[in-house]
Amino acid sequence: MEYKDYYETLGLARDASQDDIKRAYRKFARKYHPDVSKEADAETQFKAVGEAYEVLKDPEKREAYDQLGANWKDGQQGFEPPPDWEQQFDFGGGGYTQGGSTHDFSSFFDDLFGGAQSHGGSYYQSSRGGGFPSKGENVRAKVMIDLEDSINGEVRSFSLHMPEMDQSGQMVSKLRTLKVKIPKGIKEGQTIRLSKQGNQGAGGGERGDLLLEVVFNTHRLYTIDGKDIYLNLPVAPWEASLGGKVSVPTPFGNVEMKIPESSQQGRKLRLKGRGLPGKGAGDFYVVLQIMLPPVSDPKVKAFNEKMRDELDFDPRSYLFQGE
Amino acid sequence: MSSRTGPVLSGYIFEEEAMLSLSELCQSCQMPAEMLVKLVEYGIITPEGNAVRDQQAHQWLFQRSEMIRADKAFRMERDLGINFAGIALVMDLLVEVDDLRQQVYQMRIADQSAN
Repeated sequence: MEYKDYYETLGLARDASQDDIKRAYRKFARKYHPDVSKEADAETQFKAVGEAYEVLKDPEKREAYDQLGANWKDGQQGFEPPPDWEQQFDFGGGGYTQGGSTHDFSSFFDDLFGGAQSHGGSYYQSSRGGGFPSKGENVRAKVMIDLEDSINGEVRSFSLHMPEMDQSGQMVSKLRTLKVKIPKGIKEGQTIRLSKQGNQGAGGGERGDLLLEVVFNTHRLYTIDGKDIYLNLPVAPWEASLGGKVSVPTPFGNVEMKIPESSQQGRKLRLKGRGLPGKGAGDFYVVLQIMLPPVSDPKVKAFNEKMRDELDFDPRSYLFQGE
Repeated sequence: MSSRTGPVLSGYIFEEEAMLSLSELCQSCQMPAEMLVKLVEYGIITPEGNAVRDQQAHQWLFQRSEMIRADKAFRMERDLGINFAGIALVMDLLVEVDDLRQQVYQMRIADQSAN
């Protein structure tokens, strides 16, 4: 097993006071709380911080941990608690830790202080409910999908760490692969509910649900805003000026689109109902981006000089009205 | 448990499922009604329409998304020790931050394709 340096996790010196520990924990808890943080590995970090705090906040556990820490580097290969560990400090059986707050701690923690008793599970669960037959808890996770998965209602596979009861009744984290049919038209931030795929219930209660919060992968072409899909469409200056038909890729296939005459930079053109499908289907927007041909080409240069010399056009006239 | 060859699971869009009464929300969140009423009082979760003003708590109906908010609020209270007023503020700011992020992202994309 791997030794965990709880002081390092909280950025503390070994002689930190209990107040320092509390302060450091609060700081990191705010930084990495999965409901607040945008850090990619927030959940893992938050768990590590919680585990470190669980040990260091308790003077007795801290003392026990400090005794180990003094010579943990001796056997670099891996870490084993000393044989008389359990006799010196009676943390076995899990009764010592507060059930619920310790789920998903590392095996290092479990070996030293005993596993959390019941209520295993992902961080997202909350430990509520009592000792009567009750429905298992809902399990939450974030999943990444592609825009096309939502549009076509594709089947995607997700691998999730889910709590399971092993034979001895301990909660262990298991990797489960689920094949999920994505509900058509789901938006970013919405949640897929998989009925009875969450935690086992207690006392014969039914399983909780699995709630998958959807995040879209960045798309090569499109950006998505709620149900609407946006494409920045590059056009030549004469296409914007004179108008005309252009071919436009949409998630539903290529379409011909008419660019109106005298279209300015940033003009939005709408294809109704070609956004995310389903209840209140979204629209597809094309945003015109006028691209200039490179003036390093002598022909382009000549054309531009001709326009400058022959056209009476001042795009800034309105800036100086009233002068 | 299940394996790679497991069945295809069909999900529902949680937010678009039928609304929940207060007691159903209690059950799904595994929270006492008193706590949820508190969350309503602080505007952290909101029943549909003008329900807070016009109706008794037992008539309230909640969108499913409110359940997710209630869960978040519970975790913030438990893990960060924020009080309800603070949670309401944090949740409002998080929504605003998300909006701003989205705008920055859209602008960046527009910039990239313009250059």
